[in-house]
Amino acid sequence: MGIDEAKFAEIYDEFAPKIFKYCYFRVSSREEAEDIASQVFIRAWDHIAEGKEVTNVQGFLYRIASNLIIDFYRKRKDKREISLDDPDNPIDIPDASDVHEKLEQQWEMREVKEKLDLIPENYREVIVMKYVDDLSIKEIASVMETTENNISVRLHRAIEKLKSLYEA
Amino acid sequence: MKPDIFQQLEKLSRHNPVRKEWQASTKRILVAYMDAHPKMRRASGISWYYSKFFIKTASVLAVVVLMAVGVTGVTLAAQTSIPGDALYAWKVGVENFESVFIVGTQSRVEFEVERTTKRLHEVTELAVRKPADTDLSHEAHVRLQAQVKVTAEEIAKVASENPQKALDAAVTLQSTLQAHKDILDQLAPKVVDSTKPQIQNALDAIGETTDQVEVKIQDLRTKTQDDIVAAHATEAIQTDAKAKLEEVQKAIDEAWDQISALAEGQTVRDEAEARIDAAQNALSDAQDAYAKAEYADTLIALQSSARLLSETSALIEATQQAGIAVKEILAVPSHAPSPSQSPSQSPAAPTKAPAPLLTPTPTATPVITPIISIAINKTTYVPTEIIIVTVKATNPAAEPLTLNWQSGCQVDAAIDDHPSTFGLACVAGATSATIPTQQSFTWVFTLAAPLAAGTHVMNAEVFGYGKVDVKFDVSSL
Repeated sequence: MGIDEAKFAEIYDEFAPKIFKYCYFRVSSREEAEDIASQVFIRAWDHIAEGKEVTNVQGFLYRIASNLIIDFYRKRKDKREISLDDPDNPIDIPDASDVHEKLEQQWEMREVKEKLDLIPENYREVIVMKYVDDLSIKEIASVMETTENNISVRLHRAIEKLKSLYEA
Repeated sequence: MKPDIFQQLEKLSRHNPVRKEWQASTKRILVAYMDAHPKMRRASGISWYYSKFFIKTASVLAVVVLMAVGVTGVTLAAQTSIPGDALYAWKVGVENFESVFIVGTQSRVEFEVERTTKRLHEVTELAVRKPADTDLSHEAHVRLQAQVKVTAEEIAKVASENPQKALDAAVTLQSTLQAHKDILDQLAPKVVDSTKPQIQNALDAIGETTDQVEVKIQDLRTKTQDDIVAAHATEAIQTDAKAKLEEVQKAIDEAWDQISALAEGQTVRDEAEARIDAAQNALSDAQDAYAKAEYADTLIALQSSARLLSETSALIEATQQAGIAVKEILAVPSHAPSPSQSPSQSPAAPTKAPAPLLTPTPTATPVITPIISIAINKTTYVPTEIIIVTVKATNPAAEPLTLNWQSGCQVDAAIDDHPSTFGLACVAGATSATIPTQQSFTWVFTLAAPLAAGTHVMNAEVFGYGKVDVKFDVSSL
């Protein structure tokens, strides 16, 4: 797919809100989400400007965003390490102070955010993509560079985890 | 799973939290970036080396293009950015671009002093606006120290060709450092507990540099004064002294005009006035020396006056350029402690608490009841905007009033009484505070405005002495 400057500007208009929202629900801070979302498009253009082909723009942008978020958490030495490749070994539930901090910034959606914040990062990621960003299983699999089956399993477990929190 | 989780998730999917301003400004930056980093086109005739050159000089070219397309708004907006902001890299890119066009050691030193001022501004703003981000603050401190080192090197270069110019630059640099130190000193007792360590770290970072610069100033002063004394009998020095007397008097008059822009009773204004008074005294000494035909002494006295004026100017400028949060906190009057009150009992600053940890009660029932009041800095906020809350306990009586608490926790504040926004003012060991007659004790909180648009209530309680609240609005995104 040939993407020139004008086309990429259109892509930005279409995807900037989605990518921002994706970042926003992953890092729970507006400023950080804006920074990351801005970087996504710069990185994407760097890739395109080198003449490399992009076949799935949406997946490509989400993948960059996902990688930047991983970098963000690594840089912040966040305790909640992200284990994207290991859905069978979910990480620990974040501590209460972390949840509390996020609640402060997510007043309006605090109830659902509270629950989302309590599930492992790799589960939250698929929930956000599926239900907030409205991506299909196929699209999520493309972003995560894994199989649709793997995503379906992860999503199922994520929902079960969320369900258990609601029933607790 | 209860079905409402799906409804809530669906609601989240409909919610659009993106700020239009961010989207628009990022697009402008992106367009400029794309122009500076054009897509490789094999038939374009641009060699690979040339393309790589483009990539390597990204920030510079981005700015060239930015100017070419006239997106000056972004550059202007970036000027107020601080580390961690989306536009900060842009701001630094503009500086790097500008530095390419600086010619001559004297211009270079002025540029580097100006750049140091920007790094100082960032250190001060970060300490208040992003106190939780210690990594960012640390980076800003390292950046400041590196910048001061660069500036000192440039001053050393100028010193060999024009010691007076080098001294002027060093004094300007030191004045700016001192101005920010003064501001941070004034902020320290007024900010929340969680912010205090960052203020102290910023003060430490500045303190390390001021010592180095002061040594440089003393060296340059000695050198310039030796030169003045050596030339004391010449006609040129008399002419120079006369001109500088007029120059300094004019600068003093301008400084008085400048401080009229500062609010009456503000500590910064008091500091500035004290320095101008001192500058006026030094000028009087210089005038006396001139009347006695002691021209060398005249010039030496004028150096002192000029330094005081430089400090005044830097203090006023730093205050005026401060961000809104810093200005608001500076504007909060300091409480007037009773003579017996120790510094540790200065107004409490809130620390974030995960939940109402305790319910302090006064250890003694007050005979005189303080008047509790609350004020916020605005009536309408955008979601997540910082709200500065000032809670006051005023002693209406004709005798001092002592407030007592069971612990060092004195006041809390929360939005809509919700625990997730809870702020608690605690000062270790400060279980009492004495308010002089007709005066107030003040606590300042900063809380983030909620995301939900509409009317909210800011609640505060001075434990054991009363609750107050004030309404405010949050606009929709």
